[in-house]
Amino acid sequence: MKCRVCRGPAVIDVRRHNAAFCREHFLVHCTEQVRRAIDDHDMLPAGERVLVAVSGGKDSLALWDLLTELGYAADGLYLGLGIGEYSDESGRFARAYAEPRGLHLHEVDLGADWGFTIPDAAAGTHRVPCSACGLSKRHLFNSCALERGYPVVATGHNLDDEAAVLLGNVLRWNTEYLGRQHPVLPAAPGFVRKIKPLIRLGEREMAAYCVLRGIDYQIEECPMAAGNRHLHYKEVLNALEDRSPGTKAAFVHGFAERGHARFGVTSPDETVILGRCEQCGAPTPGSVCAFCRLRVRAAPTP
Amino acid sequence: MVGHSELTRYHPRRVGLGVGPVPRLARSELSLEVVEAIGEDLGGLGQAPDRRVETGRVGEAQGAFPRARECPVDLLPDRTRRVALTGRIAPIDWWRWGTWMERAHLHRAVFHERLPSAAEPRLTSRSHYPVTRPVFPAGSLGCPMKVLLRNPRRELDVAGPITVTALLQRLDLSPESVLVIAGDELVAKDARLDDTTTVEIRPVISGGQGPLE
Repeated sequence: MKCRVCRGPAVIDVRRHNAAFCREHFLVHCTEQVRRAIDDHDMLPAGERVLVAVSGGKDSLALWDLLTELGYAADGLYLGLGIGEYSDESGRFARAYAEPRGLHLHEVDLGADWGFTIPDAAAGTHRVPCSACGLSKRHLFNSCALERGYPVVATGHNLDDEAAVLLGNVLRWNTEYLGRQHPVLPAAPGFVRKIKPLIRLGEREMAAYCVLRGIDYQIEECPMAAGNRHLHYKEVLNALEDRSPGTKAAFVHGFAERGHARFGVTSPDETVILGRCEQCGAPTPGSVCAFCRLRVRAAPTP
Repeated sequence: MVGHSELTRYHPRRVGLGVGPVPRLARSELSLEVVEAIGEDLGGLGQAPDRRVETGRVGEAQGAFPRARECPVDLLPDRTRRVALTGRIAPIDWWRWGTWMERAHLHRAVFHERLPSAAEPRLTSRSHYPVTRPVFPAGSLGCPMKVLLRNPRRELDVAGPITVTALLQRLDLSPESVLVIAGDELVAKDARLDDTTTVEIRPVISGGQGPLE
């Protein structure tokens, strides 16, 4: 295979673009795709501070690297989830990326700062760990960004992640979630803006980006994600993509362009009025927010 | 005596060229008749003791088989030629052959077919049989390359040279779900992997996604 740009030996093919790239031009391709996603969706004005949610995995580290390359003032936030050696190692990868590059990494530890871990939460709520993990991440990324003066949080959700989530939401017709599935969630009282700049890049491209840029990342899978429904959705989507390259991109981008607006809030009656959590002050439709309820249920009994 | 359809299930062509999965035959089903008939079917491969292996020094090649029992052939010094730099495939122990075939199926490991080059004299008197020999390909050291897989972490031996696409097909992996790294280099799907290369097949699918939104 030859690079589409320079006709030199290619190191990776991107089937949905019917193209292959050498190292140099693949990195340019990734940068351009992120730039295009940011521009298309007005994600991030130049000069705005952005907090990157960093897990130590390929997507978040690649995102941090790409935003920095594009000249954005991007700092990282690592959330220690307390999943044993896996979390310890993830934290090491995040620090190993930030330190030599002189980047600022904020750290929050669920166990030390909030008194529970994800395994505690899964046991306490009798629900799948990914549910407690997602809830904790959303709450803490938002609250940390507000506390530290970042108007926007960037997450490493890539094209494959979005396609899998979209498929899951469509299969179950979760219209409320479909209304919120967009590359940009605008800011609201109590909420910072959330952006997904990797929406135009697949996870194979993100892994290749890290390999080619020499970024070490957590390769091992989260031990608590086994059996995660999204893994099955991704397998199904990859089988479709294998037969028909471009399917995932058409699914996700088509929804963003033509489907998303149909699932938004259509009447004032559907607007949920948010109050403030009695315990942490976060926006919530009830008296206590979901994160604080989780914290109470997950706290290990003495 | 077994029928022809049963014999052909073991035919290297069916395994090595990826025609399709070979129905597994339990070792207990490997009767002496079956094994002997397979030998006939393969053109008396066991009767071709001086089939030469294109390899480096014999000692190195032998040392490259850490798990010799998993290999389909014995590699011995070519005493007849008194040349230390070549080796030969010894007569195959058909009982071991059957065991190896089971493993080949289980591990989706490989057989390769090599047609004799014009310069290479036919060494078997039964040259009218199809040349479908379970030998490592030309240029191979006769040593399977190490393939590292993850989640869970494990290591497989696969005979090279082989292209990335063929390797992924043999391991039944979707090209969309992995990267192939040879040594320290990312390689494209048409790259050819030598058997001296250590190959990492790195999964790219992560599932630590939160709930639906």
